[in-house]
Amino acid sequence: MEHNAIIEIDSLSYRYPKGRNLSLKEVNYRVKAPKFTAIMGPTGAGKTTLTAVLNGLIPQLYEGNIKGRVLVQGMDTQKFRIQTLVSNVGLVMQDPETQIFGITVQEDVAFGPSNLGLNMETIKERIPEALKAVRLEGYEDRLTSELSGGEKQRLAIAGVLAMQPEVLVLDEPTSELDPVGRSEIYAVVDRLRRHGNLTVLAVEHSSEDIAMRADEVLVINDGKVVWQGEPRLLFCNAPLLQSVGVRPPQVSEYGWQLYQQGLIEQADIPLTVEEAAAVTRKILSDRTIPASSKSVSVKNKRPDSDSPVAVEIKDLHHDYGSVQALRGVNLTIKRGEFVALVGQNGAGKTTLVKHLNNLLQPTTGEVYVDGVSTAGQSIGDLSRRVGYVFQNPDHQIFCSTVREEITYGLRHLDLSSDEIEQKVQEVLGFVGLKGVTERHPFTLGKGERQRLAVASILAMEPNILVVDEPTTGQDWAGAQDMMNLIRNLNREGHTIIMITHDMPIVAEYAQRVVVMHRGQIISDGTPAEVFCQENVLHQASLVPPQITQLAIALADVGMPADVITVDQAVELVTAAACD
Amino acid sequence: MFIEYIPGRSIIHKLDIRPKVIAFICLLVMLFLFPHPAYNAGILLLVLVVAAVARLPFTKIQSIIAPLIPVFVLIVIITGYTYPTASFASDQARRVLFYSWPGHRLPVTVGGLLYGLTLFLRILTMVISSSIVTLTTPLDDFLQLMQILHIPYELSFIITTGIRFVPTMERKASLVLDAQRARGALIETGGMVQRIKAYVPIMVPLIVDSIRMSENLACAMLNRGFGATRKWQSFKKLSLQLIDYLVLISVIALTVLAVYLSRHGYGIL
Repeated sequence: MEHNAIIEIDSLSYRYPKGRNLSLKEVNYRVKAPKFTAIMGPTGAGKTTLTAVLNGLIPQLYEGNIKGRVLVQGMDTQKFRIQTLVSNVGLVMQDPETQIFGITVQEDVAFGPSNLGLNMETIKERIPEALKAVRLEGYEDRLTSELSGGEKQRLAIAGVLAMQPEVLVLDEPTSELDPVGRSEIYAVVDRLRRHGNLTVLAVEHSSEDIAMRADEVLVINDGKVVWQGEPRLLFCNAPLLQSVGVRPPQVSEYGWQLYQQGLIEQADIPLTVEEAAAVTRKILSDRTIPASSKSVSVKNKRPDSDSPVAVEIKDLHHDYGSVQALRGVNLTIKRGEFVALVGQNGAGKTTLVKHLNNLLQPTTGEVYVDGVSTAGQSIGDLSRRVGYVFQNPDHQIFCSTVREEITYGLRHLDLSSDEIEQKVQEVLGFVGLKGVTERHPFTLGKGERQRLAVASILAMEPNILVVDEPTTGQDWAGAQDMMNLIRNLNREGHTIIMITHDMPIVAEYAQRVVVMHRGQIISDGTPAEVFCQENVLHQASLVPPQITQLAIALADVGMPADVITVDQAVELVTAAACD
Repeated sequence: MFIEYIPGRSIIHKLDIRPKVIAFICLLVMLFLFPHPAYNAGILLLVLVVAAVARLPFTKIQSIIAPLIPVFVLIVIITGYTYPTASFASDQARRVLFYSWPGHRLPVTVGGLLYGLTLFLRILTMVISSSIVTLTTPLDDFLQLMQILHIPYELSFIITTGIRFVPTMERKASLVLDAQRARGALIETGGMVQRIKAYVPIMVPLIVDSIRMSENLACAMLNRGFGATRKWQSFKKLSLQLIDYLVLISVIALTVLAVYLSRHGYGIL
């Protein structure tokens, strides 16, 4: 047979219709037998473009300039219609919201097969099969609008599986989900891999999720395949990862540092917590970490206890109709604190922070900002004290130039044009956007737009900043830029209240963690204190950073459980090993 | 409107969509046969009985009617003044109730007021009866009806997708609204022009977002093989039961009777 490969990409280059540069450059890739390939790389590298090439969306829907050849199971994606190719290759995209067509779950699963013209008996057989594969058995008659994000994304996968493709392509399937949704999706991927001969390609930023799953990693940067091979070889090479903008699993970073110290071989750099524990035991042999070293230096110091109170919440309840979203929250935040608010979706985090600027009013209870009750204050007045940066910058941005965007909030204040200009330059300088003052916001990249949203809030000089999931959907470099910006704001004296699902980021940046669960605060302390409370984390469905998991696994050799960063762990182990 | 379907187990819910729609059309015919409000009041009563049988919540119907009340009042007043006396058959209807201007000007006639009342009853009956149909019929039935009527699948697909995205768009709109209010966009205050201006910041992100969503949607449709064939499969197959035939026969008989009555001079003003 001429075509015996499942996927065959031959020197593929592609330019979008209005693109100045090539989005894909001379890409070659071949899959001969079913396997799981992870596609990694920074934002804008061409990962999504590559997924769209695989089922013919490029060039059939998005036109543009394509060179080279793509064959999926011998079918040329430029010659066969997309609607024909879908029976061979199923594509699931990022946003679950726009991939669901049915009012009920079963109608939605049936959408694909009925488009293919299958008869009703076959369709009715495929619905439960597909739902079972994504672990949504019994959901047939549920309304799709009432599903959670993770359930919606699994339904989107079921809808594609119902057409029984042999290749499943997932484009950042978990980037819009919380940790629970994320683990649900990967449980489904594991299941699909175990049962049947499915070839899976997934674009994913989280190296911890794919380290042990992927058979192969394809790293794409600037439209080119810059690295290809087994995950182990990629993750044990920190300089390579740094150069391609991929965040390594924490334990691999830990392993790399031990390797640098000459304590382990490069081949022994771990990928999982278990491997890391084994490696550590080997280094220590029968030594233990001395009890004296247990006082790990506190990374991010909280402000002095006599600093004034910025936010005080007293017995706050909030009901949406019959749903009790907040059930008696008490919280005091001092000026200058950096607080991370964590917990599952639906735990009440967003509901809580919306009380700070009166987007929501208490059902019962009181909220004080800078010592003044919010009751009776307008959102406009409070917006000068409490700045709220929403998760999606595009919801906040609407002007036609960056300058207008910044001055929008200022026009209600009594300022001269000189003062306004000075303010514009000041905030743009702070967020690193000088020189784009006259650009249209939508011509900026996602990270830049997010910084613009922050700048537009900063212009009003609020003391307290609420930041909702600042790193969601960003690549490593983007996330680090954003977090460094927030840290600088905190150092300038702003009180930061950050909602996030990213525990390593919490460990790295926050001074204090508040854990919410079902409308109540179930834990409140420093990251080190909170991350070693296993029962609390379990209740809130939170997974501590890998390095804390490692510390807990190494408790018997004297590793303190409150280790939250890689540097701390390396320091302790090195000291003990060189004893 | 389709999304407001209220599940239930009444006879009205169990009826096939075809007798329901035919009954609705017959009802419209009957409403326009009689200019006299008493006859239309009779029809309205019948419709209210059906609504009660379907166990539709009274508050729901109330919420549909409430905004129409000023319109109703206006209709009755305007017809009272403007309806030409010559068009009435009976003396009673021609009688002038009073003159609102000295010198026998601007007369208000009994017939005019009665006709206004008729218009009011017609609108009310139409609103309530169409709500009965939409509130007791699931969307899927409408789609099947469209298929029976040979309306292209693409069109019915647009309708379902549109409906499916109503809650999504509502959620997005409230997100954008919150994001803007948090920036100090003042929606609640100011005059008419200012308020409309204040909505611009909400509309821009919402429109941009909708365009992005529709682009994604187009991809997702292709990913699911939309357009591979033009055949379309539905879960349930419509089928007529005895009760459906009974309803059809009685509704048609009633309409024939109504036509007969109106031809013989009943129900005129």
